[in-house]
Amino acid sequence: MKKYLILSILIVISLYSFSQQKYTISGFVNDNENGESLIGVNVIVKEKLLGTTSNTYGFYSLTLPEGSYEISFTYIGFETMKQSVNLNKNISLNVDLKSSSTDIGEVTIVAEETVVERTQTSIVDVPVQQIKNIPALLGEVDVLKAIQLLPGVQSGGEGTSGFYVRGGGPDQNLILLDGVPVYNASHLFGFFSVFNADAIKNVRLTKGGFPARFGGRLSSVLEIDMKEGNMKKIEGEGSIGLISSKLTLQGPIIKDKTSFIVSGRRTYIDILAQPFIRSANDGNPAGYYFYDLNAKLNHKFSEKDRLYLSAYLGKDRFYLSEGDEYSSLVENNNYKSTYRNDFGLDWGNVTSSLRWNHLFSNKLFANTTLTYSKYQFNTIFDSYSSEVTTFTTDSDTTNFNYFSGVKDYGAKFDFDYLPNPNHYIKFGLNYVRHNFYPGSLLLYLSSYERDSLGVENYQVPYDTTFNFSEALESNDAFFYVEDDIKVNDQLKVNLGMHVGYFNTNNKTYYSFQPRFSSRYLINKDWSLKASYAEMQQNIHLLTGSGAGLPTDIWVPSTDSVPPQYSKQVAFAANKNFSNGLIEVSIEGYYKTMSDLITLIPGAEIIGFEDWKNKVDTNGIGRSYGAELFIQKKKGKTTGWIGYTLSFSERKFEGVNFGNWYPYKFDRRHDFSLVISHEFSDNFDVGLTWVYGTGNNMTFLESRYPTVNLNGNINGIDEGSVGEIEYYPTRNNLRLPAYHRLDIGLNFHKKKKWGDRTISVGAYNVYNRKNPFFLSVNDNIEIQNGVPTSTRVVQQTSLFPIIPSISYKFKF
Amino acid sequence: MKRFFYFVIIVISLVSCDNLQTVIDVDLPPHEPKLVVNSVNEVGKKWKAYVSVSQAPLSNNDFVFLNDALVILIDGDTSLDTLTYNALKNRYESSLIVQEGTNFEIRVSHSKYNTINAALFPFQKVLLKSIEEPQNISSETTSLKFTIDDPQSNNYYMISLKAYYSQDAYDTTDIWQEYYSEMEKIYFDSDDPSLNQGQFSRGKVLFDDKLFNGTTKEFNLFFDSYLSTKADSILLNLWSVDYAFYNYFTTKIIQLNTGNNPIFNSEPVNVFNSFLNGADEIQGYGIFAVLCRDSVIIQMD
Repeated sequence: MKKYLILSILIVISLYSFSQQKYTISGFVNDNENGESLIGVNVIVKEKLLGTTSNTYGFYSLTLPEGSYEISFTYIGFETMKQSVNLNKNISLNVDLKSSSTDIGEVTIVAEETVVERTQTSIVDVPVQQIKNIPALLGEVDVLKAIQLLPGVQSGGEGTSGFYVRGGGPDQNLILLDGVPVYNASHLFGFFSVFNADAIKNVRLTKGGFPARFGGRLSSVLEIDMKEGNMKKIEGEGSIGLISSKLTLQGPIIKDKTSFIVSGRRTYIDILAQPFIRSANDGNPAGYYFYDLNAKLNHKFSEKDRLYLSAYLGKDRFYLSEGDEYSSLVENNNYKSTYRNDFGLDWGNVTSSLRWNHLFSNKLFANTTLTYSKYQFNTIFDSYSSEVTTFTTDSDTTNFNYFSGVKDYGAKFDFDYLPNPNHYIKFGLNYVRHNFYPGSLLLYLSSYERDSLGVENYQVPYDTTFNFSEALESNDAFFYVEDDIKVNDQLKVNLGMHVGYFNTNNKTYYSFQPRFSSRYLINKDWSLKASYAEMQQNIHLLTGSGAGLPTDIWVPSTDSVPPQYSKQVAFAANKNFSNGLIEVSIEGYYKTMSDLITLIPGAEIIGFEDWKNKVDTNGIGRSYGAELFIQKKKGKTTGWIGYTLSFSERKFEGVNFGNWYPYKFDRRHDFSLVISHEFSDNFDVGLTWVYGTGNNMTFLESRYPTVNLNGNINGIDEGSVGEIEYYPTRNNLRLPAYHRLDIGLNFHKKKKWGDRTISVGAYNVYNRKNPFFLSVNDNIEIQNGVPTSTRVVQQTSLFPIIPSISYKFKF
Repeated sequence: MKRFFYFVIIVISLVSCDNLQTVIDVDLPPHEPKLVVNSVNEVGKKWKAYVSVSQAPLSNNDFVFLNDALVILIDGDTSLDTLTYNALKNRYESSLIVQEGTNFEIRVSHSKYNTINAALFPFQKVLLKSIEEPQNISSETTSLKFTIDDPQSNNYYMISLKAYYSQDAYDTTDIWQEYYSEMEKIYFDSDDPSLNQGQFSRGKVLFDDKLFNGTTKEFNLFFDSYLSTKADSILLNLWSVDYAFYNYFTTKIIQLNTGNNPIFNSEPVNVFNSFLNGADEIQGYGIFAVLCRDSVIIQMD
């Protein structure tokens, strides 16, 4: 009932505001160099102390009483533009902001919307340029690795792209690429993410206080927007690195009307190393590569209509072949035997979206999106063997393909309605049709025989698809409405409601998820914030490691596996120092989760058993903590310091005797320092240092002898008795702390054809051996000439110091 | 500058080749040794129990098998028998024969450790029936069919096959002569989902009756035709096993298949333990179980 009351108040407030006579100034804000729309530009009317910000498509709208105003448009990295307007009628004003030079801090400090002013809690924008300056493993700039450096976000472990927000699981992050969910964001078993930084315009992470427009995941929303393509001129950039190279081309098809961007990346270690691999593998090929391709077209039909078509295609492939041939000639009988086995693993995402922006009026902006997303993992084994003589033939063929995945078709309709500067209303409808295929096998077996009389026999004993887990289709829809309300100069409130519907196999779940966030401005540099959000997640990820492996399987909620649900409350204090040069925020949060699932002990993700038999359901979780974030976005030295104190626990009936246990990624302290400094136009340095309490693991407490199936114990006299391990509780041992320093140096030079940058760097500069996992092993040492075995705990690490070098160019 | 650059590259290259496995110290809680009793008994044979002591995770000592423990079989409040130590077999044995339908307890005491006890789970013996002649379903595969009447309660089973050969079954020039003995386990397979849910281990399969509870169930086992053509006879064993036996060995197999690598393995699994107190707290470790066998010898043509 309360929920409906809030909604009613929201509507009444909105209607009240419509009654006042006002005029509207609206338009789009773009980058004047390339025509890219600018997101989050602060549009301020100083006389009224009123303002708004441009939306994802650069659209802004301000409705004001008749009069003369000076409107300023400010955005980080761009010169502030001031425009005087005499508002005696509705005005359409498109603005092209000019990129500022090195003194960007001087220009944009004054009126940019800061973390202090924003209504929302728990939201972080990371400038893409800053991501590019962060030193990276093998020089491969990685958006998700940068995200892991933010407070409240933890990495899964050494090298992995999976991330954990405020004690949530890796499946609880909604990763949107141009508004389309990406189900597996990792390349190379999680060591790299699928996002090519050269094609990205904007990265924004929301960890809590979720606005009503977001839904479907419990812990975070990571919005990644691709560049739109340069509307002014053809532009290119690329890099040649140790493991991959990439190239991006963008430019106008019709100047200021239609543009494109295409960006591709591929690793080539398999190509370079192929001669060595073949010589080590009896001449047979083997290797691994990944590639991804981003493409986008955008076309302005008019000032009111614009169309975007974007697509992403990425794939990882591991392949290994073996084979041999043998020939002989005995008594005029030719004999030839052949066998060939090809083994392959491949996985990848395809996403695409078609978006249509339409301006119904200068106050109502609409975006209609059609989406498609697919993730599939394949295990392929093809085998062929034959024996051919002068008179007979005998051959067998086997094709085996185990695959799992998810495929989505969706449509959404989003509206931004700005009746006056005191309200920013968003509402919309979203529908997705999910197709889950959690585990299927295509099996084809055939044999061919021809005897010495020429009689042929061709048999196909199997040509079948086995669905070990039932393929499921789900309907996932939601409606939302939210209003960002300026109550007075101090108080802003964002109220919203997210109403969800989910249906699988005749089982339907409805949800009403209230959202609230507020900001109280103590003075221009101080604000306090609070938020509350309920979220429902209708899909689950079957994962053993939580590291974002390609084998992890997405499954829907069913009648026996209900949707996950969370409630999160957050409080924040924000302060600007040095006139906004440094932003500081301290946030506390408390989150509860229910209807979580986990794999039952010993269950394997890939297997021939129905997934529903492998999970323990109805788990609950709780996490709480505090985060400190000090960020400097402007000037020659930029970066941030992040610190997180966190606690995260889980409870399942069938795990740990039904008692609470620490989550695997329950890390007490996480600290990150990210700095980049521009010494000159030609030289800058990036530095990252991270420290984190170790992850938890389940470690044995004791060992004891075991019997065999006959009830006997063998090997007693020889001291070689089989043994069993006893584990007292789940995640009872904390791994050693993780810390690492990365450094990158960038040398820039202007050339006749454009700019080039040589980047050199080192990952894990002081060669810290960080824990990947621990195991108990027998360590054999020679003592007094006698080999002696001792049982020890052995830590396996992944990455020592790893140097990198890359060559980047831009024209 | 160049020299410095080269020096840095050489140092980095050397460090990069460093061993990534390190022996480390971890802060493990002190280990309190507990009695371990392994007592798996078959109907028709004598009761037996191995008694030993648990070890700390990093202990380098061999397991100690105790010969001075007090091992008693109890029926209700009555002490039935004290098992005596057989030094040749490193285990305690009773003069009593295991009977079908017994519901005994075992209690093990030792001066240095806490006394532990466990009770048996009741179960029913199930018989083999309708055993068909093995059929060659292809040049490589032989099929063996039989049925059982599964009782309504939860039941657990184990199946094994063995092949028996006479000495003259072989051609002495056969390259496999050395390989085959007089008796051999038959490693078999099945496309029956009720068996595939179970655990295959060393030529035996352990399974429950979830998919056929209370019905007449037909099984169809496949094995290599080479065995059936060479063997004189095939021994088919069906064990009815109790809850403890089934759970101990299924969880043991899962634990063996679960490693430490957090990326490629699932969470480790505890093996079923018979020696818990009423609050499911660990008294000691091990298994106290009974199984009962029904066998049929199938003569081969």
